Amino acid sequence: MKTTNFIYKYGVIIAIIGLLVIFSGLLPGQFLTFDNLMNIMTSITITTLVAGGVTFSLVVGGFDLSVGSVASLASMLAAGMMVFSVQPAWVAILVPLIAGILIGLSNSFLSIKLRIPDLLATLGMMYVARGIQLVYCRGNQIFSKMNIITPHGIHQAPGTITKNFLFIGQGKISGIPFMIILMLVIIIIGHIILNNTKLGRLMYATGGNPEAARLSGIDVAGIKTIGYIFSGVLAAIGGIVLASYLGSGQPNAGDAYLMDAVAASFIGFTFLGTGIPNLPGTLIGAIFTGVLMNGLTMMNVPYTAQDIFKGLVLVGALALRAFKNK
Amino acid sequence: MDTLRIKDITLDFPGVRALDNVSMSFKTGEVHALVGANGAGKSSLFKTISGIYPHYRGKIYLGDKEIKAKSPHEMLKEGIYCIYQEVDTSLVPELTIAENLLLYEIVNTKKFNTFSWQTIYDRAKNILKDVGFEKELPNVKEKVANISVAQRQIIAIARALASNASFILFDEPTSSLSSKDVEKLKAIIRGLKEKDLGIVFVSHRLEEVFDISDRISVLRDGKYIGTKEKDKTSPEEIVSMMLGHSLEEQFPIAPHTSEDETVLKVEGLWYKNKVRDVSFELKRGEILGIYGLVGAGKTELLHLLYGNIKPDKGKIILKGKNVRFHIPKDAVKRGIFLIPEERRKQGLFLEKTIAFNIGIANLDRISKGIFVDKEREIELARTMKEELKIVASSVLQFVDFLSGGNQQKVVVGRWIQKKGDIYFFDEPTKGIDVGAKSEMYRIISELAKMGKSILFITPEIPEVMGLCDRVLVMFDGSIVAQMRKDEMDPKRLLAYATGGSKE
Ligand SMILES: Nc1ncnc2c1ncn2[C@@H]1O[C@H](COP(=O)(O)OP(=O)(O)OP(=O)(O)O)[C@@H](O)[C@H]1O
Ligand SMILES: [Mg+2]
Repeated sequence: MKTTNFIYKYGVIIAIIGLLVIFSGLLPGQFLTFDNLMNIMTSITITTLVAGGVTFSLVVGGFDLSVGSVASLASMLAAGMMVFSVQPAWVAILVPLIAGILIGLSNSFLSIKLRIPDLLATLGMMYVARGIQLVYCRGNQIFSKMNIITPHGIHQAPGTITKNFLFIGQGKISGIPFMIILMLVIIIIGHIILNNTKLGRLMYATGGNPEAARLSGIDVAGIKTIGYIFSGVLAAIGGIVLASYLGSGQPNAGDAYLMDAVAASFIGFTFLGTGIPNLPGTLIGAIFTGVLMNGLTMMNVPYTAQDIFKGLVLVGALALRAFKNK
Repeated sequence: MDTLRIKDITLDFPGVRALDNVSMSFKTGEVHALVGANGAGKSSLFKTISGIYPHYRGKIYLGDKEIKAKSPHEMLKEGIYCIYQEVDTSLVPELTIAENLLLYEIVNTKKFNTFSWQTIYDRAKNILKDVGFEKELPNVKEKVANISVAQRQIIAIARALASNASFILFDEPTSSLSSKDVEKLKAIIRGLKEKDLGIVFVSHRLEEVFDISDRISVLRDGKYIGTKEKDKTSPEEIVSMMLGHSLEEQFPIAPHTSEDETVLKVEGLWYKNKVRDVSFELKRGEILGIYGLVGAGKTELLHLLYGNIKPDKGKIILKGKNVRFHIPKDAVKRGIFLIPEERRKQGLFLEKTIAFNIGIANLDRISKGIFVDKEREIELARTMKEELKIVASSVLQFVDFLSGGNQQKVVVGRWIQKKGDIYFFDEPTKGIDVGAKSEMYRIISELAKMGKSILFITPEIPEVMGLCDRVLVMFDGSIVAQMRKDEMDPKRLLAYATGGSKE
């Protein structure tokens, strides 16, 4: 009983340390370097932000499947604002955030007012967000000085992706990529909100037992809406970072983050034995998959085979949880 | 005759010793009551015997054979069947009554093809008929999610009766049953005894314990205190064995007087066919009882007043003003609090600590700005833990692991420190021990003395008579009688509640 508890609590951390040991043994001098560790952190930054969104939706008892498309939409809007509409960086950040809020509101409207099950409501919004994004960019990538084809001929896009904006995903502060710092700050703030504020208490109560929450005088619908808004905003931030990192808007580029984000959130459940969605756990979950993927890549395991490992990791984490619940 | 003997059973949980060297024995052909205060270890003992907690130390013998309680499945095979206090955990809400009744058979059969829906329904009806509960569960095709706790309890009982058990352990089977159903259950238990089964049951109602048991065993703080022949002991002796001291007064002695000011007035309230044309007034400082059988509409009435469901027709007037609550939060803001009937489902955040569960309704009190001050949160919980005598290793314990009665106290503790005017108590003493009960009565009458008004649902006549200034009797959704304290009389109460006579 004691040992299973220990494994449950610290399983992910032990697994991460195990992977670090194994990979640095197999790849001496290559794996455990500052550059490679930064590499890993960079690769998981966007996953973690999007996963943070999923985590918030899980905390309030929902499940947001639209986060990947929201990230796609946000990255396209950010690029488009600068390239098509010649807007400064702050507009290119603000507009996607607003889009994230609107999608969050739509998700909660569908699930609360229309009583569509969360998974299906957010699945619907996933397609809607993806569609809006594709319509907006007409299925093309968006980059500085791109050619725009119109019935009247071809002309060059008026704007460029600004230097300021590129700093988000490409800049460094004393050698550390800015996006990592941004992600960590957001995760810390999110964690403080969930753990130390009234709002956080209300969110966990709403997700934990909606009926009891309602009878204890909590506006369950309102709190769930806030949870979905947080989810949309975090996914949008992920998309903004993505656009800046790539230096362009790539259609559907955010979609792939959905599954990794879900996996990270669920792996995070086990962290420290809480058994409930939590942001530090989500970060740890993302780091775990990041380390695994990075090591496998360096050992020349083909990219195509990596999903198998991700799948196994997720199944393993869920099994651990089911085991604990027995 | 067979015996079920346990020897030197010790059961530890992190930080708590739930059972400490407990030895006792049960016999077939005997009704054995197991009593003790909340958290004494009764449920833990049952769960150990039925194989839920295989990490116990000590020995269990069936006759001369030692058996290891490794899993419920194996104990079932040995003929030991347990009905748990949290009856919900053994039922599948998404399935029908019939499927739940036949759950083990359906799960364990290897011949799937022999089960048609019709046979399942017919078998289920037969079982209900055999055990005499066909009236309570008329539609076996109903989903369990849609039926009341009492009805769920009945399913679990029926399932036990239908299995080939030689010992049946009931953990507080009566705490959610109406008095009529309790009578029925007593008759069933007597019948089982005739059939030479061994019955062990837990109850906090001593009159019931003395009515049907042959022997009574007492646990206190996880220790075995003793076993008495029913005929050679008295309720007083049992209570003092349970508590370690005697209990003087069950109900607070000095009855208070309510004032004339009307705080809440209800006019012509309707809700589907559950609440019909209900009108009444609640005075400041009054304890107004609502008495009626299961299904009379008492709970629905409270939920209407609390804004949890919306009335079809009628007026709710709070301190002279017409109010319309959209959600319970609106009622809470106006100083109306509800302690709901089903604590696990409607009251508690099971995966959270005691501190969280109490703090959640007192966030303004325990916060600085937007931040929750964890020290104040813990402080508040500690105060309530002491005031309500909640048995737990600390306020950071998860409520899921508290004993039933202590869970109830946590729900009550949520509201006590809040500034409110009106408290709705929906069967607050369900499943709590005699000591805690008189504690609860004290709390309620204290609140009333402070000028708070109380609406108090209870299915127990002694509670009506002992605590309430006035009582409304409900039958089939309507208020069929009102009585002041001096007019109350058990026979009349029961007569009205069963629809016997109308005023
Ligand atoms: N799974 C568990 N984990 C930790 N502690 C537990 C667990 N189950 C029970 N306990 C503790 O063991 C003690 C005995 O609890 P138990 O449920 O057996 O009491 P009980 O006599 O049935 O009380 P009640 O009348 O309130 O139902 C309590 O202090 C309780 O908090
Ligand atoms: Mg119990």
